[in-house]
Amino acid sequence: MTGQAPVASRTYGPDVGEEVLVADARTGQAAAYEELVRRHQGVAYRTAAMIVGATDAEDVAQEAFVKAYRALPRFRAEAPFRPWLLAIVGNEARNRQRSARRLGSAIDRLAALGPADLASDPADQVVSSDRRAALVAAIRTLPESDQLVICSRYLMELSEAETASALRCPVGTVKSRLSRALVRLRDAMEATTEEVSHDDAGK
Amino acid sequence: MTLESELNDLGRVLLAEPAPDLVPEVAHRIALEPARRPGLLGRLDWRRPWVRTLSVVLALSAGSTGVLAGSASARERVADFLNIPGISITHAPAGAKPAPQPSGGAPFLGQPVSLAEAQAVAPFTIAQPTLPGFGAADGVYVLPARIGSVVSLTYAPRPGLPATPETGTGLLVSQFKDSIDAMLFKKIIYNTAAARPVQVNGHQGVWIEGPHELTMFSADGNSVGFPARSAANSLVWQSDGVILRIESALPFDQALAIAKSVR
Repeated sequence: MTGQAPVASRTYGPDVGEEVLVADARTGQAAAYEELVRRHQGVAYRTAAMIVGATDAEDVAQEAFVKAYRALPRFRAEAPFRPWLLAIVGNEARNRQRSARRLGSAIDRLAALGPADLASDPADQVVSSDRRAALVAAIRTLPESDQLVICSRYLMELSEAETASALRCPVGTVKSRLSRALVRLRDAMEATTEEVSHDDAGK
Repeated sequence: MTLESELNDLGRVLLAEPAPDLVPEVAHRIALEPARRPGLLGRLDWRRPWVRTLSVVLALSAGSTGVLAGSASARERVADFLNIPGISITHAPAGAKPAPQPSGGAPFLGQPVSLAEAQAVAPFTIAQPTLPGFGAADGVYVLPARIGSVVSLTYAPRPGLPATPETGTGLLVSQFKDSIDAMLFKKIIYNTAAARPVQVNGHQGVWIEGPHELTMFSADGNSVGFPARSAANSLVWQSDGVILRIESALPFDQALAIAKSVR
């Protein structure tokens, strides 16, 4: 469907810069936009899942990409694409959330994305599955707004600006919620560790 | 190991599953979007308000996806409409159904005000039909300031000016200054309607004949809060930085005569 495009046959691989993709997508190069979707669909899908749950996440992310495409002519070319996209994902997710019953809390919605085998070891460092489970349990005790910033910032590893965009709050709020949430989490985890040591001592 | 890196580790474990591939479906949907003309778009500075103005989106629905995909001529025809600044054209997904007409009769046009009150908030001189028989408007409305001043004038039905089921009135004249930032005016045409480019006093316009769907969108593509509604025959044109739109049951030549008299 890119028949009218001047360089319709051009392919856009992972080596093409994002500014080029955005500029070409704005002129109707579908292939350029498809590469943008390819690059950002993971984070868009997970951000949507964190807000609306796994069931609606695919729909929300897809809708957000279509809306972003429509809005692309009004996107400031010099701005980074991802925070802008995540703002649209966040909006779409919140719109959907009003009409659908949202299940569980942010951490549970994220955890539902896959068969969470907490014992697997993706990183070099080994964290015990018990410790991971304790961390999930500790996050679950936080207020929803704190869970959303913790999940965005550390589990999905969004930047502060991206977190602020997706959750539609000022960066300052992201910072203050994060520091508060980390203090609470640390306390909760210390309590857990102490319990474990007591249990061990009692054996 | 810090708490932050433990959280990172947890994220990598929980989010290890690959996300579904959205590319095919998104690609399919954007293929149904307006043809963008690089030459024109490249020349436009989208930071300028008049460029980010109200857009009229025409969605042409073909009988089937196959017909639409293969119909280069239909796409080229609608691409011609892009000569109107701030107006973009899109195709609706094939087989899409019009939104049900919201109950409650007349569409929401904003707050009823006097013409003087409307003029006080409108960032343009409100234009009115000057054709004999059209005196003062029977209703004047201004949409909430959040999306800018959209002024609508209504003219009650009378002999020669039948009411439309869509608006409950004889003639609706809406006008919007192009400084309404990044708002999108979306028209979806089903096979109940047809659209073609026209000229109004030398300005490019679009004539849409037959019931079609009208929705407004904000910059990020979200609805501004008014439900989609069915619209009657409409003529949209741009004149001196203002987008004008008239809606009635009248055929083209009569609608054009009214449009030409609007000043």
